[in-house]
Amino acid sequence: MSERRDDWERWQEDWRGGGAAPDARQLPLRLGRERRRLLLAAAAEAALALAACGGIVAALVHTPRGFDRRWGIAVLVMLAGSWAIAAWQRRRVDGRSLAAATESFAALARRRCRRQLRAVRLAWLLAALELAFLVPWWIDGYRVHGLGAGSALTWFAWWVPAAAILGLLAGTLGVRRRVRAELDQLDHLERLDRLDRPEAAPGTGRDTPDPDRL
Amino acid sequence: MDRFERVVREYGAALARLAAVYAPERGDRDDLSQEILLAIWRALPRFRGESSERTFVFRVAHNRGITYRSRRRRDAPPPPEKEGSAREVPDTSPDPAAQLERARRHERLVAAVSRLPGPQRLAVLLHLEGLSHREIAAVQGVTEENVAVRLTRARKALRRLLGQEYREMEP
Repeated sequence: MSERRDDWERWQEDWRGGGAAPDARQLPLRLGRERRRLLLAAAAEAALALAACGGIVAALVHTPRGFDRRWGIAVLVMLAGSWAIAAWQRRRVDGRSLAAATESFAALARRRCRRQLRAVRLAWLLAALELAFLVPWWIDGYRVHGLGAGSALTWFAWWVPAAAILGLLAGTLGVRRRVRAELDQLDHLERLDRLDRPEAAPGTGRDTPDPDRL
Repeated sequence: MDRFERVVREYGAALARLAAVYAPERGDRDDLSQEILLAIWRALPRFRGESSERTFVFRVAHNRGITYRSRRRRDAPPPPEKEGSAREVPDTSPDPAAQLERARRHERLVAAVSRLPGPQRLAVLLHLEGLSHREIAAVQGVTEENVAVRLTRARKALRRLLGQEYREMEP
């Protein structure tokens, strides 16, 4: 018992022998940078959504057929709805979960990750639907108008929406990779947490100074 | 900003030590310390006194540490510190040799704590900061019994990790 007390006392002494308070004066700078980063991300998201919606609107103006028109409107509504939901979720960033206990924080973080993965899948579905709508219109438009690749109309109706879709795919692939890595880490934390419970099998989780990942 | 400044004054050094455990690289430590301060600055207005302020601050800091580490994917254990490399240790001793020795021991302990499994690591660093079992249980969202088990296992692991050094130090 005294040996145990000695250990902790000695380590506490060593522990408190280091660590200088961080410089809080840098915080306003960092806060400003963070705000700018969030604004930039929101602006990029808005630009992507507007470009994707703009392509459909342009197509709708020139699409007299009933089925194509309804399809285009449905995709447009879904795109605009997804953008609105993403913007709304952005406002509720993990502020609440920050102060949660470790266990519930991990659960909240996992839920957030799964929600993000669902959003990525939805974005891919929307991109596929949009392409399915736009590609025939692009082909028809090329046949009817015969515009060159550099004309203003081609830029507006073709290149910008295509670039928006490609940007969306690239962005969502990055998000998916990052979220899956975060989920792996959270699963790892949960496994370690289970091993550390008193009811864990004897011999498991103890004295395991393996270089864990969290 | 008053309340925040007081929190920084009161817990700043402890938060820096916590950051050192989650970000072994010195450059990353400063980065994480700033992220932790930012997170506390954001979360503080939501603090309604359901737990002690200390518990609240450490919860936020630890959660930010987890997020930081999982996003950075710094999987490898921290590299052993070079002797006398702990520049951040406050200068309170007139004896440079003793100061250097204390800095070296602190860094070795940080490195050893960093190698513990996550839940044990948090329990240990909170215990080293002087939190009671009840407070640690509140931060980790487990029972006090769990905390006691984690600390017992962590002590054995730490003894093994640091044992060689401490044995060498015995007169």
